Amino acid sequence: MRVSPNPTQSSPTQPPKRTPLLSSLRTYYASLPLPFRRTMRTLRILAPLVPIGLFFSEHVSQIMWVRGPSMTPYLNEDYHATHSTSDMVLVNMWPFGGGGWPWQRTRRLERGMVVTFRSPANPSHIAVKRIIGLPGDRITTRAPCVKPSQIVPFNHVWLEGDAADPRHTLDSNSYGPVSISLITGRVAAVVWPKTRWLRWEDWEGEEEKAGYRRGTRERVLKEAVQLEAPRLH
Amino acid sequence: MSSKSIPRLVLDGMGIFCACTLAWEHLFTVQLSEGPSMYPTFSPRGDHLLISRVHQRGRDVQVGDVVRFYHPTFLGVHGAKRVLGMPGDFVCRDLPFSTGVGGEGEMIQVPEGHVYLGGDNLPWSRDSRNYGPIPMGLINGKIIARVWPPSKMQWVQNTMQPAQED
Repeated sequence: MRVSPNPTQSSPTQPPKRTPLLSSLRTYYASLPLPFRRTMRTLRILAPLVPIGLFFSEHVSQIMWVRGPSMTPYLNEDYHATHSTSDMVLVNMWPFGGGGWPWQRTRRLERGMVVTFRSPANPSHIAVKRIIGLPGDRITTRAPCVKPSQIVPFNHVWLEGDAADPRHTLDSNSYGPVSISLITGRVAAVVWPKTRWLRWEDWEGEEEKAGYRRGTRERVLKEAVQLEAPRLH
Repeated sequence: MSSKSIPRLVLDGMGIFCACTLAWEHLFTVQLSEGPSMYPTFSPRGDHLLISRVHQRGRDVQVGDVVRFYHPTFLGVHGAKRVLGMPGDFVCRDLPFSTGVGGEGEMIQVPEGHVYLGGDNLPWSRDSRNYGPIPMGLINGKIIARVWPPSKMQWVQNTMQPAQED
């Protein structure tokens, strides 16, 4: 004759044993094969790296590829030879200039910096151009622009591509001064094919001496008007 | 502290911080409004608004939605206005701070990739009448609800109506 042990009868003084969800899950997990558990443990350790990496690429630094002829010969040097070249550049996404901190709400932008920005005509497209004029500068425009000259308004910059032929670049001559709020990052270096740092100081230094894009610099009258911050309300 | 080492705690903490920041920037944001430009939709004294960041860069935005955008002339300042015209639409650009609509002013076509914005409180609003249509890349969210004060908690309505033909 078999006796089935009844827990309530065998230990009447102790409360009936509960099996909480968490501990039953833990028991189930312990019954899984060891290689699976080892993989899960590694994944658990690496999981925080995903949001950290995304945060880094959005706010600190990012790799981008430059397509098209608008910055030839500064970027995509031999575009006219191959038409498939695409430089890999390192973009500084930290939006606050110099030794800046998030609460300072300033952005260091200088003539000669190469910046990435959301194209005003197509919000899903990120464009790369060079800052030619800062707020208050008077720009003598070139080919597709309808106005002969333009004063860059407050919190806007004048962006142009480096291509000598204005038909190869779609820039401020087509869509006017670009709001600084649209700028997403600054190009810091070319990673591939010719690894080099890009220094914006060269625009009014070595490149000016070498005569690179001389005509562009001469079309800018620096600080033609003194701009005051407009009132907010 | 026995099972977890300090570096792992730091890594987890950074991961949680970055994940929260990403959710704040790409899913939902709560922000206090200010200014009289959207009266009577929002109180001039400020309401806490729920902003959907999924709609940033003008994704799925329609005429009549209230959007938040980076102000084109002030760095780091947000504005909140109602979309009055989508790319290709014809709108009447009234004089700045005009009280009526469709008076003196010119008809313009909203350029490609831009939207025409206007405040609900016309004489007290600086909007596209001042600075023209703004690029959609400046839009960083759509305001979907007022969450605080609790007595006025409600969805933000699209109050625009199709034009009546006479």
